[in-house]
Amino acid sequence: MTATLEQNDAGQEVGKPRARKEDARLVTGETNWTDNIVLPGMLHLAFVRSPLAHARITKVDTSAAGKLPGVIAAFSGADFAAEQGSLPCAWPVTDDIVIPGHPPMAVHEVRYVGEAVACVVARDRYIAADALETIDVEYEPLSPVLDMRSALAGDSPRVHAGTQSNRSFEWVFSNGDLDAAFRDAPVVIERNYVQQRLIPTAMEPRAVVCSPNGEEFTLWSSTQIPHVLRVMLALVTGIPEQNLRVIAPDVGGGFGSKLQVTAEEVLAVLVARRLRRPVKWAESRSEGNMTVHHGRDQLQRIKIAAERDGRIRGLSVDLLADMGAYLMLVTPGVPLLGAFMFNGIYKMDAYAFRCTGVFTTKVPTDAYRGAGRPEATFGIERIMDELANELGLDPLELRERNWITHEEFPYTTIAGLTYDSGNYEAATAKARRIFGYDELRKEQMERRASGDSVQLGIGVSTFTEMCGLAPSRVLGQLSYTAGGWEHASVRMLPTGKVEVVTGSSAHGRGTRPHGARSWRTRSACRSTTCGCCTATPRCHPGAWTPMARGRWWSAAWPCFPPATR
Amino acid sequence: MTHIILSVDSVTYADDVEPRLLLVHYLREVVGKTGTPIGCDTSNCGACTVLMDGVSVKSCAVLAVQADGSEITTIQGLANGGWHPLQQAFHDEHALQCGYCTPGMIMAATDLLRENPQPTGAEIRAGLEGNLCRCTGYQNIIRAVQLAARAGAQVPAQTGGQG
Repeated sequence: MTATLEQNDAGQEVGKPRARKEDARLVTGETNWTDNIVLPGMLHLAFVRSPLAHARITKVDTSAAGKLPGVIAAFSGADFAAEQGSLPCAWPVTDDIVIPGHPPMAVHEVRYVGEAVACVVARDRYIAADALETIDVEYEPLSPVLDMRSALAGDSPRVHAGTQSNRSFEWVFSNGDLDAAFRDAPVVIERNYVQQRLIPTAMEPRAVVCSPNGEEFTLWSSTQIPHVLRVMLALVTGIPEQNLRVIAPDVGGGFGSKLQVTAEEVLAVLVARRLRRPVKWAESRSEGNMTVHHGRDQLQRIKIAAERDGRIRGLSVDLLADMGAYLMLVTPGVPLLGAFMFNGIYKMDAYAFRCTGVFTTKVPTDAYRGAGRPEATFGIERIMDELANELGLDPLELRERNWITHEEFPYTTIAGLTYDSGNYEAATAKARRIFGYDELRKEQMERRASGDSVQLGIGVSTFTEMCGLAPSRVLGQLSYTAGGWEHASVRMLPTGKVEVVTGSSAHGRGTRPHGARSWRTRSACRSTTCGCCTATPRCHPGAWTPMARGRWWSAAWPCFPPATR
Repeated sequence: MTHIILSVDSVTYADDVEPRLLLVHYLREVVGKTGTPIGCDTSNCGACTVLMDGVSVKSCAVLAVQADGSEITTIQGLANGGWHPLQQAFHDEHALQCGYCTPGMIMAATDLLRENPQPTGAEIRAGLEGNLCRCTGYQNIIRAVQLAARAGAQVPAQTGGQG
């Protein structure tokens, strides 16, 4: 990486602040959110959702809805049972993983509050909301499964009838002799940490528009992954891939929640195909809170063995990860990303990681902000604090005794990743100085000694992250079915401009100025008159890029600039 | 249906609307002012903030019939031609990322500066507490409002010309 920067004289471009190119439309309201789209004859789709966490559907009567003026159709799950397929899980993490069928609209059973059981299609969203009230659904309640530990007990009710347990998979990784590391270790600390479930909540609620045109379908969606969505829609619906076009217009934040192939996207296509009319679905916030995939939700049991001087001998991590009711696009893989990050920036002799994926009758979990990696950072950093406390060491001192030193890079960690570069000594010294760490520690001691009514707490954390995830061949070994790459094309235009096109869309990251910068940095061109310096990356995935990866796994910057080379 | 007559960004509209129609749906779907987005439809997030007779309102919590006879200013009518000082300041201070909350932030800040032309940081935080941002965090938004205040954004917003 360093060689590349020197070779390209990157100092001219990298490190300078750049004005965002996206703002002119965003600050004036000239935006194109999916819910802005209006097409001739467009209909509005709305869903009846389960009020129960687990129940058998005994009746769905949609007949009254069709009698309301302005209602075009109403459907139950049974109406689409033959064609709706199963929502995809693209990351089967083990050979024996249990991946239950996941109908976009429930047919026989609901397994979380908010699961769609019926839908109406009407001239406007108000009529559609009225029509939802007329649909009669009856349920026979089944036992909910809420707690992961009791869900794994043999006598627990099953989330999916016919399965042997509520366990989806168990995935393990180990390196070094953990038994030896813990045997006779002077210090052993064991803790349980809870990573609470949360709702991602992008500012823009999800929205989908599907327009049929003969055999072809155009789908606009507030998505992070238009290209993946196109492939998956083809696989789920049977519509030939070449007849599907997916466009992500302006996207008002994702945070992982729009890295998904959703029931509503599939059903928008199926309803548009059935009615031969364009349809729109735009969720309300309360609907989104129930049905957008959730994040986190882990129980972490972490054990660390160390010498009296603080040197780490071994680390053991045992996770229970709540999958929710179904496995969605990358649900099972998210907690496993932590396997490569629990060791953080530290050296140790042995490491073992185990993750058990558990089904519960809750909204499925999936990628959210860092996806498995921040959970790991919390775990290791919290137990490092506990260890420092046990040993009576300053938490920064303990970290320094264990981290990879600047001279040791490149360094292959106990989790098998090679860190190419790092200088934790310099970064920490700088942070320590900026923060006034030593002075604040002194003040903290004084306040404690004097019994001051205002006490001072000081938190310390290191953080590193694998971005772009990994090279495609490594991902393949992890049974991950999408590559670790990005598409870019550089086009010379007749007017002398350069157009850089990528699948990494903006939705908040300032892709356009940085894309232009990275291309200029890596290209040989230094002229200020030929047009290169007004290079305009077009970040309009699905519309202009033939195939790409999208915006996820913190991957755009590791993957997009190299793609322009 | 109820007949309403109102001004939106200095253009007069007369429409028959259902009494239950929300102002934000009227603006977006009847008038076509899609620069005003819907974030929560429960008056929590403030993304749909517009000015009604110069005072900020969350347009998801106002009925279109309540706006009868009023003058509405949306983000699309805030400036006449160029940029309003707040729009410029949000760009200059990197006070936005995805931009979904930005129209509401700018409209709420417009009303804040009308009431208090030189607010302190704490007053800006209090004044914008009804507006949520999910990407940027609030620090740069505070800076942008302060920058706009220095640039004289308390001058009543120019409207008109955008239709």
